[in-house]
Amino acid sequence: MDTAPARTRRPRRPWVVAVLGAAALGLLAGCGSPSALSSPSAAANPDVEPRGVSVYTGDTALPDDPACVSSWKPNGPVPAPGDPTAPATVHDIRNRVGPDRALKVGVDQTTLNWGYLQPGPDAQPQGFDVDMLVKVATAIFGGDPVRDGTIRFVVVPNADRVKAVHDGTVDILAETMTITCDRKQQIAFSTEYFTAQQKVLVPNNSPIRSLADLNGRRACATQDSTSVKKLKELPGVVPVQAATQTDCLVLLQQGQVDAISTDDTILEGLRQQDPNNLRILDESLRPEPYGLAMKRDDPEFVRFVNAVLDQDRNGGWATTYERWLCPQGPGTCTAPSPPRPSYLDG
Amino acid sequence: MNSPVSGEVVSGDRERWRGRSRSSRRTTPSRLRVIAGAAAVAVAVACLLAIFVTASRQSASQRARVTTGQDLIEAQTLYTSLADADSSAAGSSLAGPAGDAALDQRYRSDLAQASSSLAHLAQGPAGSDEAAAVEALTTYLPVYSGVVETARVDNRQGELVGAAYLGEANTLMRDRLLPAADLVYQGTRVRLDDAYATATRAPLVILTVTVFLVALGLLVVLLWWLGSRFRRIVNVPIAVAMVLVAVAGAWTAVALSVQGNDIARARRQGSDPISSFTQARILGQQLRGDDELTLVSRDTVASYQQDYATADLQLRSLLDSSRAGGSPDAPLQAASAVFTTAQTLHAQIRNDVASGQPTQAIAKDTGPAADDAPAVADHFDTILSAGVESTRARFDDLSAAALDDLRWLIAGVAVLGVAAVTLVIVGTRRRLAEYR
Repeated sequence: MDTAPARTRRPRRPWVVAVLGAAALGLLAGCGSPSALSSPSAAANPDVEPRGVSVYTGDTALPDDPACVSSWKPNGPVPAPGDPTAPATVHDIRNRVGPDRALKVGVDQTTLNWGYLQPGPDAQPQGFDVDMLVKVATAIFGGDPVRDGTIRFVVVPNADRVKAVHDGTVDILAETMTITCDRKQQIAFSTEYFTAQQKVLVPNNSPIRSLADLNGRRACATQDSTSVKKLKELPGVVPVQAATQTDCLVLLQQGQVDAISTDDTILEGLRQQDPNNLRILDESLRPEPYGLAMKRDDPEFVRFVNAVLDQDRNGGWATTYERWLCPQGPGTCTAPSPPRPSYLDG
Repeated sequence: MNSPVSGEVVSGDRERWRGRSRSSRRTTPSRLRVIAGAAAVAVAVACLLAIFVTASRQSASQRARVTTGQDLIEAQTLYTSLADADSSAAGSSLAGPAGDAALDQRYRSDLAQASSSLAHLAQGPAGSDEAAAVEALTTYLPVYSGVVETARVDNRQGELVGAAYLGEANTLMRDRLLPAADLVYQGTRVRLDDAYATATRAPLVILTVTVFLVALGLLVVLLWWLGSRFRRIVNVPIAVAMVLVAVAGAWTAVALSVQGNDIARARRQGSDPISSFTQARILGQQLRGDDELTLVSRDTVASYQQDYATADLQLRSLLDSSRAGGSPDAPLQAASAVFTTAQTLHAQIRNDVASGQPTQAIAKDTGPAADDAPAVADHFDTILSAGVESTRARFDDLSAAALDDLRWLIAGVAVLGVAAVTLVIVGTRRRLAEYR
């Protein structure tokens, strides 16, 4: 502990005592965690913040090649459940035995409206992403996969998404995951099933009305995310990173950051947790095309899933959209048209 | 001696001195005075030393008794209440939007207990680490409970941000409050160690006994010298003084060594077990909290399980080391068996989560059954807190016995010492009177 000098040196002038004492107090207050945001003196300003908050100092975002959004073209309409012409992976999944006879899907449980587990017992994940995965499971097994137990939800933290798909922990994953060239080095993506936009969430009473107003402000995003890298590009913005999106919301509510920036889909979920005090700016930093993630070495399964998505674009997609994404609640809006698929081979 | 005075005496007046010492019987009273005086001084010094050592050991034993009985208990209560409050808050949040009334109650009583311990704790000197820690605790405890209440409100509305607030509260608890409580606890341990060291310190006792032996030796010389010089068989007062000094010396030596043994036993079978039970309780609560917060955060915060692994190793080695030890560790052995059950349960819960059954995991972690996590954790904690209580009773007995060992010693040695010195003076004066 660094309090020793204050005790042993016995400075003669009282102000020296005061300064050393204050320094010692500050050191004591700060010794628990290397705090990025809170003030040094505990007694004067006992600020708290979530674990793992820091200012992002890494690289800025790389420009992404729009061609990377393209995926494998379906071989035709979706084969009926049990159809022998379905790809081998589909048969393998159907032929699993016992309680393992299920599609293993990777989901998030912390993103409202997308992949969310209501706290409490008997909870099932729910949201737009979860519904997309249920559609894939239905195409493989038929019936109602949630009721039949032919879909198995595996909670995969955001940071582990690529790994969980790559090493086969899950067959397929949907977690508001942006298709990027970088990720395609390791895993495959379906066609784009949703186009999100990176936007900015601010308190209602904030003077920030446009992206330009962010100059000199602190903006929060998830650790090492594409969003935080994009924030680093904006002039004068201090990019603050937190472990989870909800940690960013805590920082915003406590007044320790001025804004949160990430996909509008996620921001809407955050806004709904404090609906009277937060708003999302209209300006977009860039589009975020979402894809379902699968193993890279299985294009036939990707084609199968793309067929499911293609079929879904004729009505099913709009229903799912209206169920989860209307700002005023389910069924209170009309869905836009779904994103158009882009195929690698024609 | 190289002093100039004695040098002069030796060089200049050697012959005269020799003549005097050889010729005259007048040397006898002065020699008698010197030997008797030395004996009386030695007796007095020995008794004063004995009184000083006894008094310092008595006050140190008393300090050890009070530090263990009050401060150590208070400091461990502070730490365990804080850790338990955190784990209760997390458990209530896991129970669903409405929370769990019993756990909420427990959280509140934990906070009340922590505040009360904080108020009773010795502050430590101003500017010390302990005082700064107590200040940090009083500053952050209300902040902590505020964040927990924010989490509770969000949780009631089913808002995910509640889990983030709970995580923030937990971070505050782990990074600031618990380390400060630990500082207070360690400060108490240091003061206790210091008291034990003083209560059993040997060198002064050895010195005291040595001075007693010197005094006894001088008395023997005096007795023999008087006997041979005056042809009396025994000088009764001096013989009695010798017996008194022997009694005082033996009493001091025996009482202090018995007290040293007793206080060491009080430490071994009292303070030390209380410390290790407390350590085990703290680690047990931390493990429980880690598992709960992992589930509350929906496995999005990896550090909780990393913390779990660290605390798990520490607890295991603490419980293993107890197996090698002696009988006072019976509660640790009982706790060890329960810990094995808890570890199995933890593995099942982790396995449920990994295989996509978070609901099942939450059920095991919050369920009411005897083999669910709350009951197992409570069992573990109850064994150890009962251990602390029973050990505390034993410690009280042992430390009281150690204090009893020294009872009457100071008064006894003082009386014996005064009597012995008086008798030496009386016995010597009679002989000196014969020269007047």
